[in-house]
Amino acid sequence: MTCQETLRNLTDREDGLLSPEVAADLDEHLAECPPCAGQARDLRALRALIYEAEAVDPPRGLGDRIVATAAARETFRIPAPLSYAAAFLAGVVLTLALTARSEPTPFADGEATPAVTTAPPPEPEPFELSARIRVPRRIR
Amino acid sequence: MRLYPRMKEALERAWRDHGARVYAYLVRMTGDRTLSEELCQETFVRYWRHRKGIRNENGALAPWLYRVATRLVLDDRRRRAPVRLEHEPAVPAEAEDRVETRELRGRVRLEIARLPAELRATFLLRAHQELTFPQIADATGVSERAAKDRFRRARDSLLRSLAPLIREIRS
Repeated sequence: MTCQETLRNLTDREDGLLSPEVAADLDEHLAECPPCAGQARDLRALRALIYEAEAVDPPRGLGDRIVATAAARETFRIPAPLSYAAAFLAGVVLTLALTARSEPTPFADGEATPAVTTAPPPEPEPFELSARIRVPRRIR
Repeated sequence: MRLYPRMKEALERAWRDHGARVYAYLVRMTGDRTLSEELCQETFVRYWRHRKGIRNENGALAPWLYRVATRLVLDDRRRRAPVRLEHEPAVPAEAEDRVETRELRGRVRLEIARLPAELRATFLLRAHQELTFPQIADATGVSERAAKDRFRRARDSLLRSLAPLIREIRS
């Protein structure tokens, strides 16, 4: 393991990114290389600094405002099974309405259904000549 | 419209379990407390609207919340000018801090803020929010391998830029 690899592996180990085998090689190198061991100490200090998370507290009342906003944006939704049932019922009603319009008007109970009269078509009125037809002489 | 007590309790529990950490993450990502409050509120309201499709066991909710929060930050950054963290520290310095410590913390914040947004999100989720790499992959929408790679790049960039300062202060 080179010195450059050592420094990279050092931070990787701190972050849980190094396999146990490479970690063993790293320790071996640090034990034999004083400059790397010194840099390792600096790196640990620097890493601790940049990983340090300063406390940041949320403003008071933010949780209550979130609940209020969620409530304000909450809209009433029909549950899915109910919406399917409503769609089915609407379909049934529409079908019934269309069917009722195409059938003859039903008669009230007890009322006689009028007989269908099949009267013959009216006779044509007799044709009357209103003027005398003139026949040419040659034919006569 | 009012929330039913049981529904309200579920939302309050999610806020209690994750609210402070998600808010802190947003402040570290944006450097702006007012904006973070707005984005945090939007994150939890979105959770509430999509609650039925979210698994809430085995720590699945946290990556979902961080994913929404990260997406909101990235979308917001495209709409607005970047936050100038040099003049608006994300976290006020503690009064009892030594000058060197304050300076160091300020530089660390600045260098973290200078990271590209995707690298910064990955670094913060691991180093400060302590998510596992599978959770970070889930939260940032990349593979676990890509999440590890992003984390290494972010960390190495910070170490490179801050190492001279450490040496300077120590000497």
